[in-house]
Amino acid sequence: MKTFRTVLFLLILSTVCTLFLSGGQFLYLRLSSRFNIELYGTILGMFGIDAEEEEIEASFHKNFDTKTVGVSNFYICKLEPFSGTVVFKHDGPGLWSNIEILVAVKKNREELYKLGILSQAETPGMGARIIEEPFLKQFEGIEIRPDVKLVKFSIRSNEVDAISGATKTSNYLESIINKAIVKMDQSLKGGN
Amino acid sequence: MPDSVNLRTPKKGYRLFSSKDALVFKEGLWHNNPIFGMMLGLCSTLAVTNIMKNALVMSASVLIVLVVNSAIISSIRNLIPEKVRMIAYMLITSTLVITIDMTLKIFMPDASKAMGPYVALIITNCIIMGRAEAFAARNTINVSIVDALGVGLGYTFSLMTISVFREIIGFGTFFGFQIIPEAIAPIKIFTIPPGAFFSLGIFILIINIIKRKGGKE
Repeated sequence: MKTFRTVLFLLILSTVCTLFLSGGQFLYLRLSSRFNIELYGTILGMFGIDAEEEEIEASFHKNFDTKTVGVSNFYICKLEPFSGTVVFKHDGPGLWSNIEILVAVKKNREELYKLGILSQAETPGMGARIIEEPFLKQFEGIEIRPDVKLVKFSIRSNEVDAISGATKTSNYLESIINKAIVKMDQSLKGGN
Repeated sequence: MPDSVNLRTPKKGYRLFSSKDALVFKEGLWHNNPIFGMMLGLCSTLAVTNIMKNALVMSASVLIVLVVNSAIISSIRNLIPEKVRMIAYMLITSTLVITIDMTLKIFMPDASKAMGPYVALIITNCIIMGRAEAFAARNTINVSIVDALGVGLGYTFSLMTISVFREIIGFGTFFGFQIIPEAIAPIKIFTIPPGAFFSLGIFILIINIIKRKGGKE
């Protein structure tokens, strides 16, 4: 009887706590999307737009439309010559950490405009080299159909060179990018 | 027998803010001050006290978690089974801390970033667990809240004392305002962890001297 009471108490307590936190998390996701100056700055940087810290938000809203599907936001560029380019955030597991990427897909939804890494904590000097400019430059203009591949020698137009010595990180990054593209296809189906 | 010995273990049945509550409050603020008296929660103290703003945000977070935690635990103290009381405290504390952490991330992103993991680590702060186990689990809500307020403000007092000292000496600023002319080079060591140990040691020395003098009178 006593054991039953203990188990029941813990069950009720953890349920209450979990429900409370889920509510909190829901509100957090809703509110945090309003406070992403840093993200806006990075996106503006991808399109070569310079803005002072105070002007980032205004400049961003001038140049981008925001489309919210579920909990994810898609930013659609209005600025020529990039108009129609879709930028969005996606994240997934890397080798050691959660890798957060920023994907910019061209208007035709067939080619990548650019790829950015927002946060990662992969092995320094190996996997962490995914943030280096030469690696990220390879993604500019590659085809994303049927999928993006990180390979040893890139030959086809949907392939880029992976990082030597960081096979795992490269594989994870590949799967994150492809999942991001699938997410975009599902979310923006039919629209614009 | 001196009065103060009896006060260390307050009895049940206090009225809201009776004169004895004031003594419980003072006890937490001074004799049982978490940093200078009980030496609990030193890790976060050493980490966040280099800038006054961070110290203030940190102590406010700890104060809120401490008070709400003590209130919840003392209100359900008769329901918590003896065997799993620690797990129960932990669940409640972590729920509160995660909430505070999310709130800070939204409303004070800079401070939250500067403090890094230390807000989330309030969960493991011994002050909170200590007050829950030693006080809130055996006392009524009112007196538990008064005790939590006393200890929380004691923590705030300690953190602010150390951070005022470290910020003025280490950066030459007070709450971000330059008060020592830039021509005088600040003693940079007080902004890094070794400086935290030095300043904590200095303050514990001072407080102990004051306490000893008070005891003799």
